[in-house]
Amino acid sequence: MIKIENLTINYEDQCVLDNVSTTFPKGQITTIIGPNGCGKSTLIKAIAGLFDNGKSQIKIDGKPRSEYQRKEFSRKVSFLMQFSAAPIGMTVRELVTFGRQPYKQKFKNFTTEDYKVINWAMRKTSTDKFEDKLVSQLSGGEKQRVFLALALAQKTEVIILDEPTNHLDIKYQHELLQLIQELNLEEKITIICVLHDVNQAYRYSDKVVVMKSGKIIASGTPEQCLTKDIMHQVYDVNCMIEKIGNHHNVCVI
Amino acid sequence: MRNKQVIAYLVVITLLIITSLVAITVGGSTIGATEIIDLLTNSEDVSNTSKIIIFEIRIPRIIGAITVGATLAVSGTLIKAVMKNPLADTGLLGIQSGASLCAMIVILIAPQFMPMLPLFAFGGGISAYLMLSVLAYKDGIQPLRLVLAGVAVNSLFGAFIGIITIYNSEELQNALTWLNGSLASITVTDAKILVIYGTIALIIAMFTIPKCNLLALDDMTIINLGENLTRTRMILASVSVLLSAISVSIVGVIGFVGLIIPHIARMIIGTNHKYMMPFSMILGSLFVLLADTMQVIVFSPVEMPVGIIISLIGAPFFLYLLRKEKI
Amino acid sequence: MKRILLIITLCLVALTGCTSSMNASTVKFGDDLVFVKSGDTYIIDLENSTELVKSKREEVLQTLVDEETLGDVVGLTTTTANIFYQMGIMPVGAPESPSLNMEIASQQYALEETGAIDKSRVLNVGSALAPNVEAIIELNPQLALYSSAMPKADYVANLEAGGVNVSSIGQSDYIDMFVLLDVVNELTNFENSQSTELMNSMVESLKSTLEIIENADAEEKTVAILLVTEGSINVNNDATVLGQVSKALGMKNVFADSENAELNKEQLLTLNPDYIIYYSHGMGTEAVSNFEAELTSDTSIYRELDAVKNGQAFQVASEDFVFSSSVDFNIIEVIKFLAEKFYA
Repeated sequence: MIKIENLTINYEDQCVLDNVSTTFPKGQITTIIGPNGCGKSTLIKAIAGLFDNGKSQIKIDGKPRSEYQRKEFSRKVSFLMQFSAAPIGMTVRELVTFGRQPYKQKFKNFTTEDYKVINWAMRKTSTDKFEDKLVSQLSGGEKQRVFLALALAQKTEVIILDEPTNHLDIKYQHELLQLIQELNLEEKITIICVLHDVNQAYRYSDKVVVMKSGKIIASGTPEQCLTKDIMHQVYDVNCMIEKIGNHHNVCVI
Repeated sequence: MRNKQVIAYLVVITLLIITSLVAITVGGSTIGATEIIDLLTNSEDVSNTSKIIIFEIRIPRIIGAITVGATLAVSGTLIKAVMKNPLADTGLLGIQSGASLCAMIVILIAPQFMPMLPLFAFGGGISAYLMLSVLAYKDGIQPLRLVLAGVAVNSLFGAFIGIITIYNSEELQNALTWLNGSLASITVTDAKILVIYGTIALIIAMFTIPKCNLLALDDMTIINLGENLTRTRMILASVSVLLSAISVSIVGVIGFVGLIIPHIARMIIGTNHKYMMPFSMILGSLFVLLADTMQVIVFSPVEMPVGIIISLIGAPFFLYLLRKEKI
Repeated sequence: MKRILLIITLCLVALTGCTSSMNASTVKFGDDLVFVKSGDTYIIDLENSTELVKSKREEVLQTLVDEETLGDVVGLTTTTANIFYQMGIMPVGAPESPSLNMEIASQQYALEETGAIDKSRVLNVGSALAPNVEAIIELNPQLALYSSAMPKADYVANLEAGGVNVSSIGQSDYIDMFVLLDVVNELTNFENSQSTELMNSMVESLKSTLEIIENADAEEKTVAILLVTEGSINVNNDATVLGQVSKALGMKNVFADSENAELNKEQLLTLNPDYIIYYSHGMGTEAVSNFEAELTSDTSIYRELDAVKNGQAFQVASEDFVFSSSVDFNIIEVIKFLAEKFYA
């Protein structure tokens, strides 16, 4: 479980996170939503340790982020940030292999165990079919799956994703989110995910954190958080919550 | 390694051997293949002068060319990996100017430290690199900003070199030869310094291959893998600077080797540094040795600095690359 | 004016032509120069000297014009000012330099101090590299001279624009020195004792040098002339000062037709000259001692050279002269030094 207590982060004299406290339960999919500039990306970047300050306010399994060694943390939490540029001339397999970097002993080669994990990660994400292709030649959806395979190869308990569905066609968006859900259910991986689409958040999350202007407005189950009132308060739109088939949908009026 | 890569390796190694054999038979004197064959078959018939020419002039020069080419090419490979920029080169970015400034000061002020020249040059190169980092890093490195910062650093150190040359204008002639990069005055001692420092630095460089590959990933992914990005960059850049400093301190500034050789190596071998870096090293040796041997064949007995020949070949090729590829 | 000069010259040519039967008072040095005694003073025997000497002389004559001009000359180069002083002609302006003759320096004044031009003293024209152009224009000399061994500097155009007659004066080889003396003697009607005595002593010195050469064996020896600077060694061909002196002394320069470029060591080893002479200019003492250490080392690539084995590799330097890129009257000492080294 990841627990955040009274986290405040200032960036270039602006308060981006204002006294934020929340938890990300183990084995669940937690989605952070909110309008642009609400601080949702900053929040997960803070967990990933990309900021120097605020590290002691974040506790992962009871241990402050600041006390984690780099490698130790990368065996526990992996993150996939937006716009991961495809490295030039690297094949899918080569890229996924980097996922074992945190386990690698200095001046030693990868073990058979490492290769097993790499194969497993590629199989799970169905990227093994094009493992010898260059990453730069893949489509957006395929690319995201390759980077997810890389995160999987790290064998972490937690995977943090920053708007993984960005720039994807709607078919691939759902394919990817279904894959993430599958991984969560089958491999018991804790997922922390920033999403732009409220309906996707409703559909795939166990817990939702709603943010605005660096503050948490609401957190809890999708049903608790994604209400008409909160939607109005956060996005300044009027909407209805409709049930279509098995899923609830937020419809803007 | 794939078949194509094996063939590429065999071709460059063969060419390097052939060029070395040609290089040993040409020079400012008439000593050629016959004397070499005599030397191998019946060494008593060969005059001492011929022996000196072969063993103490030509061979040190060949070894010098090979080491200089190897260090510059690997240095270029490393700095490109650190900067994530195919335009990056220690010559272009002013790192070599920094190194040569320090080397120049040592030569003029404290000539007793000559054997440690590579280390002083390294100090100058590192300060140029640090300046470059401060100037070019701002939310990551933008290629344009990097190149512009390189221009600034280069001209700054160039200005200092200018001041020193003016104050020692009597030595101007010689300073210019040195700045152009010349293999003409390589002595046995120089060759020894080059080989000792060069081999150590090249071995260190080979240990950095996994890190070079890692740096091909974007910064976020690298941090995600638990890597200390700043430290890794600094280590790789230092090795790169050390490699060019070794070459600069003995033969002066030679541009384009670090710029184009890793580029060609990547086009032939691919991006994996495990195969690309050693290939780049051999290709660099071949290029410098070939340029110097061509220089001897064409211009001898006049000594044309090899740096000029390399620029003569390198600059048009670089322009061709600029047009052909999206750099 | 020019016509008169021409007539005088022609008369002189005719005069020397009459007495040109090689008598005991004739001195021939090198391929070009022949001297003959006219009255108490040696003059250049134009009849028997080469075209090169004649054209050089003609050029100097045209530059220096007459005695009046000679008394109103600015030496833009330190060595130029020095050689005029040595000929008994005090320049009206000279650069500030530690190598400027002490006597000239003691007469020097700066325009900023005195505020007025004083042609009886020597104007300090500032650095030789970038002289005070305005002060020289204000001085308004009849002639400003710089050494022909120096490239024509940018400031010359500014001086000319200010109405100053600027010219280069031959200081590129030993012939230039004799030609200059000869012209000065003529222009001063041989009444300038300092320049006539200088000429006589220099020709006498050549005479004794020639005796040394005559007494030596006839075999032609080879020499390599090297300019040693930090980290690089350049060769000197026959067109250089030492190249010409060596040639006049009967030596064969192994790099006679080379470029004056960086030494190709292999070439030196195969050419294997009998003598290796080297020099450095400016602050090259460190370079010279490094080169000497390399020459004498057991592991040196030069160890098989005859000149090194026989101890015939030496620096062109002595207490009597400083060798610099612009030739001055010290060249006679250089000639004497080399003749003794080559033939002793």
